[in-house]
Amino acid sequence: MAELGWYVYCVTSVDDRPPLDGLAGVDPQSGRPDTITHGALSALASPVRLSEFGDAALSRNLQDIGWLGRTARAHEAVITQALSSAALVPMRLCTIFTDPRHVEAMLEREQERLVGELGRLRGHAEWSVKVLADPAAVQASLEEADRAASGDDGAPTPGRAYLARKTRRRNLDEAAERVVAAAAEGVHERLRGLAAASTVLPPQRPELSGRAGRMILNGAYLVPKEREPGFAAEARGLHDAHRAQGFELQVSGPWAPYNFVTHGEPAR
Amino acid sequence: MSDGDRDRLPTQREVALVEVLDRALGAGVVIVGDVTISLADIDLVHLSLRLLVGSQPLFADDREATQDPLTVESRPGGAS
Repeated sequence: MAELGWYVYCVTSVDDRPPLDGLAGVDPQSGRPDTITHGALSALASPVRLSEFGDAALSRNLQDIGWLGRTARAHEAVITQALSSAALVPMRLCTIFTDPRHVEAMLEREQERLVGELGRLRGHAEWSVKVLADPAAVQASLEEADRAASGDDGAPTPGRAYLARKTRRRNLDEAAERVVAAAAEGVHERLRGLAAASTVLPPQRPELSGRAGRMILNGAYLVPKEREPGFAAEARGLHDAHRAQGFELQVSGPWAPYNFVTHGEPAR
Repeated sequence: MSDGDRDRLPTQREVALVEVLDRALGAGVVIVGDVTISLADIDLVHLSLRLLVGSQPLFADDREATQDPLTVESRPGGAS
């Protein structure tokens, strides 16, 4: 009989009973997700083999992209399903206890904070909005505006023409930086106005995200459910408004409020 | 989200793994369990992700091509 641990996905109020049917969890052969209840709180947890999820195994498995991907998606699947009918506080990936009584002790110890977070987060979800800039398109739209503004000033002498081109190039580069900064700030400000809370995350590296273009905004927004249609419409409007200048918006959600829970105890 | 909005916005079924990891690994409540991923482990994960990218179609399967650049990654079970 394998030694088991209890993998905790998230915490909900005991009164919310999110449906857990159809969820396999991160270690299906050990058991499916179920609730561990204590006081006003429920932890959604499933048993896992410590030979796979214990300290030593975990450090090794996390370096295995296949294992990491499967685990992260199974973790997210439980949270996403629970989110559809419950307020929840999501745990970081691989938060594991060696005994269900330790989970209860955690719920007891963290009760005040978790109850407070659930109250604050109820009826909200996290949305991600990214702005990507296509540098060539940004430049092209600026050059077009520049040509339209300055007209064709002929070519007096080759030397002067060269200097004029060089100055114009530098001005365009500076203008591009300003336009990029203004687009990121403008989009964030507008969306922020519709959100209960917001935060700007570090941009993802293009080679990791697989997205073309330079990520100039990676925003996360805590949006009340009733404001979701308005938020989506605003994002669509901002996308349309910025498209000709070489920007696009990418929206994903609703996510569990990962970026809007307080971190609590520091990771070891 | 109203049906009208849904019809207007193209959706992707799967969210890229990097999105999930950014949140599940980079955020969320840190409660110290009996086993918890350490910050050193997380740094190593990011390092190995970087090394892997480019050598494998890591994210290719996760995403559906869309014509319209405004990509709304709709997440099953979430919107209601």
